[in-house]
Amino acid sequence: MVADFDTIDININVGPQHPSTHGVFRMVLTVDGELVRDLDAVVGYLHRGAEKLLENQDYRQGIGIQDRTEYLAQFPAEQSYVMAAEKLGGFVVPERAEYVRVICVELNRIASHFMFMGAYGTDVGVFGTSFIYGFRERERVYRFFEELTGERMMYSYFRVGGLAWEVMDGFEEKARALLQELKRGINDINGLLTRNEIFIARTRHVGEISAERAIEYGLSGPVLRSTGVRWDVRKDEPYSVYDRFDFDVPVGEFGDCYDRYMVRLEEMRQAVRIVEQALDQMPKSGPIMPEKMPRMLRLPAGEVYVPVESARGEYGVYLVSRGGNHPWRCRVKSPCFTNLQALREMTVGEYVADSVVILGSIDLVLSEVDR
Amino acid sequence: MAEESAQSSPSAEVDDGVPELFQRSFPDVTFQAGRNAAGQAILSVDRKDAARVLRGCKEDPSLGFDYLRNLCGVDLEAQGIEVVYHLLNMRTKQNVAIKTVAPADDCWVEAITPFWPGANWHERETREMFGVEFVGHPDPRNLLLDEDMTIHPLLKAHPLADIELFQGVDVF
Repeated sequence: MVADFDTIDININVGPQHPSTHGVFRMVLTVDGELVRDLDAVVGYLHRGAEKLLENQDYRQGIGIQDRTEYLAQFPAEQSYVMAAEKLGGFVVPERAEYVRVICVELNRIASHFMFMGAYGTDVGVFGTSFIYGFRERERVYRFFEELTGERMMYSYFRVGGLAWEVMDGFEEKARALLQELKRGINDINGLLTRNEIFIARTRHVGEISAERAIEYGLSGPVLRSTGVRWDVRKDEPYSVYDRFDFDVPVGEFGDCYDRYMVRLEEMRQAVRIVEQALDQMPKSGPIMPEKMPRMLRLPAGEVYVPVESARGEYGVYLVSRGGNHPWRCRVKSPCFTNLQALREMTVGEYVADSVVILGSIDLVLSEVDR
Repeated sequence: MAEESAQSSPSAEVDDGVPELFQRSFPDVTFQAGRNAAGQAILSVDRKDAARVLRGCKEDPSLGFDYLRNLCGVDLEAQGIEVVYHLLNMRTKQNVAIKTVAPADDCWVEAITPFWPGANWHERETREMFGVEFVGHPDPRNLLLDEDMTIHPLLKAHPLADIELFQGVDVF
């Protein structure tokens, strides 16, 4: 669209304190009328030096920091860290602990996606309704986690080698009851958004990115799969006990905001399937930690990069050890950090109002971007 | 070190052919091959060859390592800064880590952002955290740190301050 009169570009600051930026994030938009001509993403407002802290804490203290780097999908973050330490130390995790981990991670994925559904509805203008529905379901999962770990958000439940303590009484029944409620919740969100005409109008063919560009940018998670690339670390590089479950990897077609939403919705259903199978297969009793774990963990020198499929994409921990009780270097590869790089390409050429929709569709967590 | 009973045998010798594949594709480059704890290949290359090898990874379909998983620095103290590129081949599901070292007194490597957009923020972060200059980077500003901050916090030469010092001693 070219105006037949002279226009000037205007810079608009969105954020860092703005409800649509999902945290402290600033976009400098260069706009020509209603069209975005350029975008500069400014991050770092929440930088707490997590990697430096991880270098200075021992391996058990690091688990607590991992919770705080990714405060909406804490279990995958913990999992990648403890798995990296286990790979370096050569520890074998008892089977029962692996199943409990998978159940935690998948329920966490559902909770995180509910949070996305709720907030995203608000982004596109379904004001309030989806937010309440999403948070109602998320709260159910958090209450379950609270009973399991004693904490609503900062669980610190996984340990190198297994779990901190045995699950609560009636774990399986409570998990199954929770799943029934979550299934209803997923259907509620589905009924509220999926065929909503306004929702489709705001998201279909908005913020498109091609599969080739997605791979060049190193995107991962639902943002990558929405472009049609069928890559899921759980499926393609199975870790933990994921190779024992039957689940599908949903992909999109256009790589637009609507596909990202649909991929997440379907992922929630698949996560329910995984938890159901895990509850069926889980050994009813048995150890949750290897015997004779040392009190103070010292890992041999070496390095390993362990990616897991977090709710937002590939969450990787690159652990370098030189012996001793704390890492020499612990790099946290956070999915949103990488995904956010593509924001400029997705947004330039779209309307200003859509920039918020596109930003929301990445499902960003700023604490994980800035670390 | 952990007790033997809790540990499995160390990762066995893996032969995925990745080091040989790279040597065939770049006959004039010297690779130092190794394996990490997960059995994935680690290839150390000289700094002058690093960008060329990485361009080949992305653009040569016979290599196919066109997905950049991670890029970061590691402080080797006296030897300088090691820059690590974790790459993935989505078709063969093989991983490789390319490493190159920038000496401490002449701390630069060639940027890969001009041909690999996904490296952009990673290089900016590594630059500000370790002081590695990425030559040819189109936008070498600080990313996570303040714009005018010139120290490099992830260097081992910058230890964490005492917590009292950090919060101000005369608080109490």
